[in-house]
Amino acid sequence: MKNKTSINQTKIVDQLSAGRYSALDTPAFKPLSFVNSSIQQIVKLTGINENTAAALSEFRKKYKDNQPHEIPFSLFFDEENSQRLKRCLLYQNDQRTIITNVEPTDKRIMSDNKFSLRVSFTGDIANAPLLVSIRVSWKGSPFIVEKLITKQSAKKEYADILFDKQQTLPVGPAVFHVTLYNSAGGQSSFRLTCYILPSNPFSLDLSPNSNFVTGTFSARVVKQGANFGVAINATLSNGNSFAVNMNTSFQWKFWDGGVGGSLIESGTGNFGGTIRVPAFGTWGGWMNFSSPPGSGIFNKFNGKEDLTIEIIMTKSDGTAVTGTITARTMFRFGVNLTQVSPRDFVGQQNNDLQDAIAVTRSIYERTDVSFNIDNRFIPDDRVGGFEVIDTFNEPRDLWEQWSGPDTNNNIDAFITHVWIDGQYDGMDGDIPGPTSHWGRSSGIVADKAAFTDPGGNPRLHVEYLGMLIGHELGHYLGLAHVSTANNLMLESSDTNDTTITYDQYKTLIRHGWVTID
Amino acid sequence: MSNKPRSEGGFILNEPQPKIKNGSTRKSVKVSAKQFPARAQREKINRLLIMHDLHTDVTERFTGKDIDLLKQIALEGSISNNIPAFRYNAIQKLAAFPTAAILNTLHHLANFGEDHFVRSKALLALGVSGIELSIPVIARSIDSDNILISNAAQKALIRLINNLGVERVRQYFKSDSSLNYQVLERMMEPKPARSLQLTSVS
Repeated sequence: MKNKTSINQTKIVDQLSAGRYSALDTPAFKPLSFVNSSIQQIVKLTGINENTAAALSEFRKKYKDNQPHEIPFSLFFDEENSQRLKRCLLYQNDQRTIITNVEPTDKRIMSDNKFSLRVSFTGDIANAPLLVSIRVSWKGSPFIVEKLITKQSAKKEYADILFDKQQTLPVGPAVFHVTLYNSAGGQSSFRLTCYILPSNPFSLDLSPNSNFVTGTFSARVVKQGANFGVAINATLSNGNSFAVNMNTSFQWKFWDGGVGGSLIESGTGNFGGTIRVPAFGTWGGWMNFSSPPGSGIFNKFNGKEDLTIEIIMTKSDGTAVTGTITARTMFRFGVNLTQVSPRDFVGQQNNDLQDAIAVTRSIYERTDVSFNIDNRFIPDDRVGGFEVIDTFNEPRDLWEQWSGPDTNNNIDAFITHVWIDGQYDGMDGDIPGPTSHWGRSSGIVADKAAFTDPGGNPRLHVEYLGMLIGHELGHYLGLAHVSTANNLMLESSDTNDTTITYDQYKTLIRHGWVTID
Repeated sequence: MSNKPRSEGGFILNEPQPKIKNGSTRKSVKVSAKQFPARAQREKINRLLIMHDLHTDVTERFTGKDIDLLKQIALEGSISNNIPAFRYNAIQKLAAFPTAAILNTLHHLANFGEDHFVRSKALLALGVSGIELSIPVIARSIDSDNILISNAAQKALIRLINNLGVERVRQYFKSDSSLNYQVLERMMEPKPARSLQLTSVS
């Protein structure tokens, strides 16, 4: 065949440990008591400087009975040190019960086996019993496991939550969203991702390019110039207690009608270097296929057919391991992702914004709809009052002044501090939004969901912001609010509310700016 | 996506669905509301605290019984790891119940909140409260080196002016020698018309 599909790029993907697999996971952090901890302990935890530590002892005597918001740290300490002290400590009469860590009790979770998670906490246990609720996102439908912790058990400051034989998980990533409630209404949250290791004991799994959300969904086929391209991740997981060496070359096959159906094209690729899958660990690779016009795969994708990709890798002893994923073209739209004033996106917040839009993309790609991004910003010196949006008219002023130019048919999404009338953290121009960049309806705004983490780093809440952008884009594409549980278009949708139904899919693909390659 | 046909919009989708050992569902184990009643109130408040758009038909409302919990949520801090919208919007909702204790809490948060995000939200809440006594903390924050705090304070002062009337705010500034009257006059100056041609973005 003259025109053939080829792999034009491969790379190795850095892996985290199987017991804490995602960069979006909550770091373990144990706050200390303002009153009962030693000054040395507080210095170590908060990182405050020596001069500050010397003053802290006297200061503590004066304010030991106050609640944190009442203590005038900033009158005695500089801004950075006072904020560290406020963020990292627990105080008198503090009603917070804080999750300090969540981890598998056996350090790892093996597929199709019972397991338990240890939820550690500190702070107020006087308001026990406590309730631990864990929502599990995995390849199948999400499910929930809850446990009540008695006052007596709460004294241990941890609880082991058992997942029995009816709640075992298959190989692949699983996200555990853990919430701890106390009887005074206090709530604390924690996110943990585990890569479920194979009991059999070795596996190759394929996933879409930006797989932030667990679940089973298709790889996106996109036009790359005149060619069709599809990028996928390959993850080798090792349930052995010893490392496994692999050959770096691999075979690929595109099938119509599943493996064993009609073979459309096949070939080989190579990751280069060496591949060593650590004991109880994972190895990750990424590859991009490019199919030129006239190739068998191009013709199938051009005819809107889906195909099954099969990847075959071999261990150094010659044993083969295979993985499959479905690839297909999708409906597609575009987003002009616009930072309103780049000076307000500090350090890690820039990466957080890109991670958030990857979350949004995963939400839509599970529905077989995708989008492209054009990153933009409004310069600091021209941003005017749009760094804080608190009235209904300001988003419309923003769209009127900054939507466009008409160089693409993308939806203008502006990310800033949005707090309209003190309650709304997002807004869209119209349902559906217009197919032009003119007027006072041509865009969406979403609140940054900014905060400072216990380590003092300004961050954006990636999962919430990703969901919120997806919600507002949904309005622009014609979706109204619904009351169906876990739907993206709930008026109060939260990080767990990311479902798009078939009826909603049928609505949004009819928006004038939604196209197909 | 549920109930999606295998062919839609001209697509030919004939690849087999992935198989999951033991099926695609797992059994949930839940604690009933009766066993742990505190969660129901918290979840109701959580729902009311995150609202995304103005075209909402709100059937639930905050009541006086919710104030203690709202205050607790406002003070939860980032170590709780809850989504920031909960505590930011709780701060705002407190402004609807402007008792002396609540106003003290908002003033504390505006002055000593754990970071500039919290402080700016408390300033905006004080603006919404419409209470004259909030003028000093808002006015002093306008000159903050932190742009977010300064912007929030300006917007809060505009809210207060809209609620109280510009003359009353002027009188307050004149009666308190610690306040910089020029701050107010600066804000009262007519703003240049905004350009409608700012379309160049990178």
